[in-house]
Amino acid sequence: MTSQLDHFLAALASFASFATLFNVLGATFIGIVIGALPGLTATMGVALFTTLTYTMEPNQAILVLICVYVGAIYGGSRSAILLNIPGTPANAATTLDGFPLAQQGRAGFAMGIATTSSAIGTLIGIVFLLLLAPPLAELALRFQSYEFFWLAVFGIVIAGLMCAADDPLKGWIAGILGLLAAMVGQETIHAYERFSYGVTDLAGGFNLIPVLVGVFGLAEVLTVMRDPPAVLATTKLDRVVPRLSDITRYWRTIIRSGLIGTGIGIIPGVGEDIGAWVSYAAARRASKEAHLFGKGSVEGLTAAETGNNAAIPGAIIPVLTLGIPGSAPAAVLLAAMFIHGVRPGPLIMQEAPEFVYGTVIMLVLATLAMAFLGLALARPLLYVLRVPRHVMMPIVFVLCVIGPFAISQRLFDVWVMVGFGLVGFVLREMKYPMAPLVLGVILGDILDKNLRRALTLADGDVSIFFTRPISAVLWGLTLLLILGAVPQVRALVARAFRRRPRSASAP
Amino acid sequence: MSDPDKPTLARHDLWTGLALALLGLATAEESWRMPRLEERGIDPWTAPGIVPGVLGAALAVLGVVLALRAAKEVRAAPAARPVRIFGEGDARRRFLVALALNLVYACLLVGRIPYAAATAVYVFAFMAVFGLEPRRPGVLARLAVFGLVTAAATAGVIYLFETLFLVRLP
Repeated sequence: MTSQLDHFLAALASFASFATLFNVLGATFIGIVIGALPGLTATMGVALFTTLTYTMEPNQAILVLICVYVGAIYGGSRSAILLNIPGTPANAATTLDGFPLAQQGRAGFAMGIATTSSAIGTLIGIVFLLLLAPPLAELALRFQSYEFFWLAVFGIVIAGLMCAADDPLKGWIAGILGLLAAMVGQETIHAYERFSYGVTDLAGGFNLIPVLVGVFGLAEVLTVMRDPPAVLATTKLDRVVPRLSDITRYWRTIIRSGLIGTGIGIIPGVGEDIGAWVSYAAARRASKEAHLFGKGSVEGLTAAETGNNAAIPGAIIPVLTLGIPGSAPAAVLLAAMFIHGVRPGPLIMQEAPEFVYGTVIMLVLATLAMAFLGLALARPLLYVLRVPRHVMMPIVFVLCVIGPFAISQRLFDVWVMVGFGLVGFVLREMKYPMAPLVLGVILGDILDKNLRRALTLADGDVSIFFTRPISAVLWGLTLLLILGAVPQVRALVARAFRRRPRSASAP
Repeated sequence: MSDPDKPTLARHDLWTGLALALLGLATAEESWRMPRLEERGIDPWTAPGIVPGVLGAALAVLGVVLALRAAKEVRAAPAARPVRIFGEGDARRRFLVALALNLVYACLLVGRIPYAAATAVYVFAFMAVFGLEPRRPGVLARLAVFGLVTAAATAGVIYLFETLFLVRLP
């Protein structure tokens, strides 16, 4: 306990500087602007800032990225409320009640509620990060190649299922495409070049940042330019700072959404958008005012914004303890940690416990800055939303091109960005979710290495994959998820349950 | 009951499913042909082709399932209008122009002509193409504003990456 406190105090001391204050305020503000602008997502913001911070000292660089992440997920509520366009996918549920509130002349109030809900949601998630990361890291120490293999399979299956709830088949296809993309280039056991066809650049494989900037950057620029321009619901704001009673009135919803958001965030690849949707659906089911949902319900808005922000610390929990991202922006954060020499994973509590506590402090600082800037700069941020897209988008694309180039200094990464951007655009339009694809690119190496290592350890005996306790839980869950998504199996189970009461009552 | 006038993805899914199945089979076949590295005394369970082979086979199976499902939907509603992925009318025009400008910048200009010139030409052209409405007065004033924004954006990006981050620009 004392050593944990020592690590916490050491981490706190490392952030006591003017540079920290400057970076926190600046990065959170830019994050809010990125989130607020339709076409700029949190993933892309964190990816671009990874390229902008790679010369910084590691602690400050990760701090900046976390501030951008928190700011962007929150900032997306601005355009959701004022334009009826979610600034990031995480704010899609916010549009349902945020925009009607703006149309009713309560845009300022909606923005205030979104700010406080986001802040409380992040804080709930932070508490769970603090509580869960150390024991989870300890549990992860028991993971061997078998468990990491199943964890990768489970991640792809659940991400595919939850990110494409109405068509999991497409979610799984996206995940496998991501895994296959990760197979290109030199593999890590024997350094054999797969699918490189003698091209030197391909032998290096696809880096995560160009892939991410492509599917979340170029694809989004093309979507924004294709769709008709958005119109602001109002340019006048009512009172922005909410009263205490406005917040405490829905305390049950806030706590429920915070818990749901954090839990969804922890699941590999399933991020803030699903956190918001599931929180919103749960709030509507439990609400006495369910009829107001979708017509300007303050409770609905509270649930969506608490749920998406709570998913941020949730998504960082598996990053720190397993080296597996909980969401797409967390995937970039994971890549950035590796770039800066931090090795998250099961050994983190042994190797760098102060980094875990440092992450908690970074999230708290980002939350405070987000709440302050969100409430204080409500009016100036209105002007940001009025910047025309024909001015914003070319500058965004210039950053999409130079960002990936800056990390590796090779034009090949620009072409990778373009290629994945075009494929990503077409796949998105055909309702393939991008989060499982990105997760696949990250998990590909983990899956590949651990399956082959485990097969060698077991000397080809696959039974051990199914009998070890943690493996059994993981493959059991995976199988249940797959079977549950097959309509024929669902129908069979439903029929069995319908039949049982009748046969029980039969003489 | 689904709306019969609503465009569907069934035909796209049918062709995509078939393409994915082919891609999966090709990947599995190529993985099978990868060396097992026995001459280096390497454990056959660590052969490089194992995982891509399994993934290729899985993709082929999912592709076939997608194609079969889509074929059923197409048979059920043969006259259904397919979704226009690139939009229609003005939306399609805006998409194609944005795509062309982005591709020319990223694949043809960057790396071939000086970075500052490539970026300035692209940013100004993008703003002029999408931001000018010929019938509205003040074309020259707007062009001047676009010029200023182009200069500021280009100089800003170059300063940031070249001077602050010490990146050798393409």
